[in-house]
Amino acid sequence: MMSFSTQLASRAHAAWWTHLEVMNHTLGKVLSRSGDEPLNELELEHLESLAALLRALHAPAAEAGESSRNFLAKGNGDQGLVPDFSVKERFSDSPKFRKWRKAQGHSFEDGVKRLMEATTEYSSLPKEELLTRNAPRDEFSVLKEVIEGLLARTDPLYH
Amino acid sequence: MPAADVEETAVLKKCLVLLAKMSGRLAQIDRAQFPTDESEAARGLLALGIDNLRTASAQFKPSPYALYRQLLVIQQLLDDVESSSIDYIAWPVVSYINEIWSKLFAGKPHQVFFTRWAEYNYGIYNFTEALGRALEGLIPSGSLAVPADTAIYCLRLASIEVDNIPLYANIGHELGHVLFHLRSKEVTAIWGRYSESLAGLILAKLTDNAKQADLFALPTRLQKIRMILDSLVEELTADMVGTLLMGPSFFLSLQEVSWSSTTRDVWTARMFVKPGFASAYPGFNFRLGLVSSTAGVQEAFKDVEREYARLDPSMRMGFPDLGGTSSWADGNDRIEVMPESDVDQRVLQRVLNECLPEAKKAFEGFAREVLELLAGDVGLPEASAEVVSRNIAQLLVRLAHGIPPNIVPSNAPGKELLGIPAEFSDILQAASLYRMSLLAGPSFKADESGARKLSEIEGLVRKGLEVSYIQRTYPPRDAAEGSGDGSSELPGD
Repeated sequence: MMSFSTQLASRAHAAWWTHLEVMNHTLGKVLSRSGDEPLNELELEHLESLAALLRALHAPAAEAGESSRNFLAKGNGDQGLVPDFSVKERFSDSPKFRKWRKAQGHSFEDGVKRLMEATTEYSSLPKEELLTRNAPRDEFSVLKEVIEGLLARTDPLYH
Repeated sequence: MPAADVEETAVLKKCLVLLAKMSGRLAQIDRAQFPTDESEAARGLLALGIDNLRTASAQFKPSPYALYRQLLVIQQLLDDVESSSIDYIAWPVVSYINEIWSKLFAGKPHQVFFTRWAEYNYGIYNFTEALGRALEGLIPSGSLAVPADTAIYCLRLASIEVDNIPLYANIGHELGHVLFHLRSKEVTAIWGRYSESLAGLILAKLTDNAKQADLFALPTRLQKIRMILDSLVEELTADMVGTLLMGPSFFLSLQEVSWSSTTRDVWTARMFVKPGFASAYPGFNFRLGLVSSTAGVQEAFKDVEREYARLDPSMRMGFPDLGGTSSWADGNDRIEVMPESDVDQRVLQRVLNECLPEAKKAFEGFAREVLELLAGDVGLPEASAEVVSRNIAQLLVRLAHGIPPNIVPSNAPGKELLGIPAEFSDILQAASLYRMSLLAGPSFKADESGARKLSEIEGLVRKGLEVSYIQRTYPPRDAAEGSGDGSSELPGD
């Protein structure tokens, strides 16, 4: 008597871990290359996923804005990402994020926004410019540490 | 080479070897043992996915650790295809369920295949979607060439009690999940009406005397509560479909599944990050009470008991108070929210428990209306409740005399001695009632002789299902001739 969704539950959580791990791996590959190497199709998709993840974390669901209406009546469509962690805590846990933000003079909010913009801009470059040397290395380095922090508290098998 | 790179290379090689092994396992499956043709569709899809993954792994070199983890997931899908065998699955049940499936999803590109599950449970999932998720991030999106509207579902049958056929009525609930997704718009509209005051109550509980941090967390908390309640709505919808498809036999099988639960008043909810959803279950007390009440279980059992006494006064059969679930609506239920590591778990658990009495009222009203909505999809039973009770009593008499419960008497002139094939749900109900009355009766010995007696009943029921299915599918020659369709040949002649 297990729900349709439940059948996918352990898989879905594994997918969250995998989602983070493939992005982390791609960031590592981009940061380890110094030349003009192009990104492959899959790596580009991982960076686009990273940009989408940052957008979701930066602007969580607008449920509160709809609180005057029945928030339960929306149906069970794919809700994308519903974090089980405090976004603020996870970013604040990263020494690189704190240091980089201070050096750039960003507030917390602005810092997350800048990381999101840098990732989006890079992954939107025309194919011929999508080379490792054009990557926003400082931002990617910060993001890699944040994602590694998330990975550390996400068990690939169970929560 | 740095140690980390050496390890990555080793993991990648292991993954490639695993992929090769999986391809081999898929090729070795004995397709002649598949219970239905749909297993082959699942096998073909999985072979395509594994092939794509082998190519992409060599070309794009994704994270070997992610690849390794997802291969474990894909292995579960492979296990399901391998376990889809007539060695483990009773074919008449599969045939009956296939018949129901075809009726429910006529004209839809939905297929189902059957497999055995190691758990004491039943389940259904979208195999196509599960494979797509398993490959996500490892192959470029859209590179798995699956037609967009293809949906192969995997229906898992409890292996521990594979011979316990009356439990198969739970499959009605599993089919309900698929119907829920097809009719989610209409179902959600109903839930929207019943949940309005509940939503206001929850919002008030989350915002009254809230600190700044609570207000900051409010959008995510509302989203999580919605996920949990949506999942409960899905479960209750599936219960209503189970009730519609199987009648009181669904109640009996649900009750038997609940025997493995010691906390029938506990509702559970587990949240997941991506994609954001929860899997939540109402407590068994509430579910059984709702099903009993909507299916008219107590009345139905009394009718059967009366009919049975009339048919065979020499063989009294006492049914235990199976439908008695008086405390279900106002019981002392509680909800447990998981995982504890979720930053909002405590708040959500408190708020949901405070709102549970209101939620139960909303769920009850919702379920009754959903039952009416989906009755059109499922179709009304052909026989009246009175006839069903009479038929079940007839099947009970057969079981009591050691005769397979495959046929009930016909009132049609000239057919009195031939009878008509029994309905699937009637056979299940008779089998459940008979077994339950045996188990609860004073003369039943809970030893080897009792085990033999139960095996005997299971054998009779299996035979009853087989024969009734054959009789329905391939009616006698004279019945076919008399059908008025001009045909004088039986299928297979």
